[in-house]
Amino acid sequence: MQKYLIRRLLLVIPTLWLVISLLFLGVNLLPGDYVTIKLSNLEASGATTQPADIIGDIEIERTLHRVVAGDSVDSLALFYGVAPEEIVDLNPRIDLDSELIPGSSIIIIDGQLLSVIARQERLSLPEDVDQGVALLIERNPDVDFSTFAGEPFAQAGTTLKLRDSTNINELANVNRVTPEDYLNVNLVGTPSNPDGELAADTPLLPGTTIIAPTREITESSVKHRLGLDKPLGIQYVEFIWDTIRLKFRPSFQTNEPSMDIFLRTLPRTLHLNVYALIVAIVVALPVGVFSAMRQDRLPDYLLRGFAIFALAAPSFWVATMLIFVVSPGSLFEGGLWSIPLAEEEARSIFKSVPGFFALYTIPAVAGGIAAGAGLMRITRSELLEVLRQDYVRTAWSKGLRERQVIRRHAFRNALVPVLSVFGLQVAALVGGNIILEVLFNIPGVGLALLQRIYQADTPVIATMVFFLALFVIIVNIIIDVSYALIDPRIRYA
Amino acid sequence: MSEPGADTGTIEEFAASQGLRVDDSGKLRNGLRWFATFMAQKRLGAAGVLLVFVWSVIAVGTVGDGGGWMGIGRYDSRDVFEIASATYADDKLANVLDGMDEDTSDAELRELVSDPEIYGPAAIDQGVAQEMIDYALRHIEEGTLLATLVDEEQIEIRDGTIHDVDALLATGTDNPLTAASLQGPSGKHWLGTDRAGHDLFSRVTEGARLSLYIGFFATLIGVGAGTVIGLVAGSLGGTVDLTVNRIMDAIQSYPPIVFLLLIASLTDPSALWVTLALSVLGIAPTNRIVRGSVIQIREMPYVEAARTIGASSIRIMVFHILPNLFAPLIVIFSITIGAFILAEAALSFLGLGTLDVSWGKMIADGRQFIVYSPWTSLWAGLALSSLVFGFNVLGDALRDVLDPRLRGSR
Repeated sequence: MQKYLIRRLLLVIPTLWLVISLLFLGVNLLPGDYVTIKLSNLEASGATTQPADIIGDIEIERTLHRVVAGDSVDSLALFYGVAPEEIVDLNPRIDLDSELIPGSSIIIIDGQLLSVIARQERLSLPEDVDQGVALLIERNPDVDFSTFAGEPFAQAGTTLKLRDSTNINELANVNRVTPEDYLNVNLVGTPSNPDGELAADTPLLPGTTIIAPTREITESSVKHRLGLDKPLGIQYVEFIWDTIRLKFRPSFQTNEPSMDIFLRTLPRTLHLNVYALIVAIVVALPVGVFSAMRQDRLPDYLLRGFAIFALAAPSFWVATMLIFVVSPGSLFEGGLWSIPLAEEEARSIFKSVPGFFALYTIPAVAGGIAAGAGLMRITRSELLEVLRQDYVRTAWSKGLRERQVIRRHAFRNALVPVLSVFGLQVAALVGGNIILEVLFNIPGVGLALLQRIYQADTPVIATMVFFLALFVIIVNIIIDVSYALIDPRIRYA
Repeated sequence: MSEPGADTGTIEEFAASQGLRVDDSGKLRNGLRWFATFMAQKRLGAAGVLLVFVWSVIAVGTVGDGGGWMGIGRYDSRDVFEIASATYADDKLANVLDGMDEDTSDAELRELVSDPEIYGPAAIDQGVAQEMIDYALRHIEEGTLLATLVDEEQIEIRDGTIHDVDALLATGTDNPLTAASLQGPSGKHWLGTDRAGHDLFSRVTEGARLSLYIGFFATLIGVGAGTVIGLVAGSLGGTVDLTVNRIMDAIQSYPPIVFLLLIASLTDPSALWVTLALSVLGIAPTNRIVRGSVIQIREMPYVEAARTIGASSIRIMVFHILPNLFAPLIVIFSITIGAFILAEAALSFLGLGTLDVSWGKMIADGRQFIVYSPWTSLWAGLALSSLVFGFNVLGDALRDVLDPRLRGSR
């Protein structure tokens, strides 16, 4: 047994190596890569060059709309998502029906959206505006922010603190250049740095201005920053070394550690899958036993028919139909599953037990039914097998009651193969429920993985897939070993 | 022809040398008898055979024209308001119509719809706007513009009904366009219509073609490759076997859907790539089962005998081991097709499948409008489930008859 265990564990090493290599192959050699997507995104947002950097406070102005021909109060209200009355309130000169003069300016908000400020003032990477907004709120604790169409904005006339202090490293990151680019253009005679002594981590206080490197972002600069310009062989060795130490590279997209993203999304996936497995067991075992005890009678036929159909029906369809039956509106605007549950704190639903069940029950039932059907079939057929054994017949002839025969003699022995199938389903469910996470907007590993795959965010994909594969490998080992532990007839050489 | 005792090769040569004749019709008769017994004894299996047969006939019938079986049930969906790309149509249409005057001439109309400005600030993205322009232009050319402006508040749609502009902007069944394109089953449209006014019967029958096509060929390639690999690895043993097994373990460690997502996202959305991606998934399980059988078979006396008389290892593989794998392979084949059809639907559902009509995509489409009408999702899902059901019960029955050892392998 020990010998087998050791051999089994040793064989994991080449398997893992192959898993990592296949992963590297998958994310690198096939067409379609992050740099191309990134560059076209940057091009679309017009952010391929860098203007000067401002460090310090900013005066909030009103947000205006420049009227063009065809604009009306209604159309503007529709476009900005506000009530027409609000626009009229802010602009004393117009009323609901008045024609707007092209070229004139209309006040849309009495202030500026934090997301706009964050983008303009480069508080974060362009695609991470939320992070910038969060920074602005955090750095201005005494300012009251109102919301406009769901987004926070700052009142006109207030002054916002942009940064407590910063340094070249941070600026370089936000501006997608290297710290050296900054140091090179700020060597001598910048306004706040007359003696020319500047290091990458020198704190820069608010009010400081430094020269921004107006370097163009090109394919090679992006590749260089991400380390993608190295030869593939070196990248491969680094990839394996990183994976062995579990020190994965940060996300290309957000610079967040991949491991954090994985750990953040993992609980949601676990909730869903554990719940689904519980549903599967609770349904499968009693029903399987019941079906076996009533072999070839009507309930047996019905239950078997249901099980075969449940195996054939895809979980995403079952889920869709369940939603239709239970609460058709919940996938749509304002419904339970309509928002991606990314902002967990904002979702009080996670804090309450009823909320948890409301959120996970339908997905778990949909995911659990197919798994349960498989379990039920194997429980039934194994139990039937065992019921034919001599010792069960002995138990019957001793005059034991049905309950005792089934529970004590038959069921336990039938459980061994059921356990192995259960293990296989544990492994399969984690991958299979990705589609349910997508369908129900549950921010688990699956949904995150799919989003990262669309963005070609290689490090995060690699991290998540690696852990999923590792999980399958571990589950398989546990199945084999527990098999031997439960059933003494099995001996591994 | 040859001396007795020499290696006489095939049974036909042996029969010819003895002046005998191999009776092919006997084989056929035996096969038919076997099939009849199978159908009679395995009722569920027979149902599976029937389902698969019916869907195959439907799928073959839709080849060519695209939609409906042999033209039956292929309806022109134009009588349902002809809403091109109804996803966007509702509010975009109203935007176009908003810019029209009662006595707008065709030329002016053309100019109007070509002018992106008329979409005003509400032009959400260029792709949508362009689609709408193309749509309007096409109808101006064909003289089939679907609606004209009665006055500033009302629109007359081609079927003669007059609606408020506001109603066309509304979402849900209040909107006459949505209500009209999402019809329930009727004599005209047997299964109803989808959000774009397509007849669902023709869509469902057409979906069968893709499912069967991808399911069949992916299984053929995957099981074929898995068989060859398992055969070679199992027969040769040693290092080859060990290496192949490690690789298969590695592939099997990926959750299948993750593997598919990775491949599908990195390639073009075409039936070919989906087929190839799926077939990779078929290799490892087939290899495992085939290898297990091969290891058993290669110790059999007749293989030993073949080896003793000096048969090459390729000859042993092809003529002595492979024929004995026939039973498990048939079982694997029918079970795998069902699983692959489901996987293809899952990919399409996630929007990573092919661009053709597919049941998975229909379910996803129907889901968006399920508040108003469940028919699209319902029919596509039922069709999908019934086909997979057919393959599953067929596979189960074949397994019971041909190779009971495989029970519990899935």
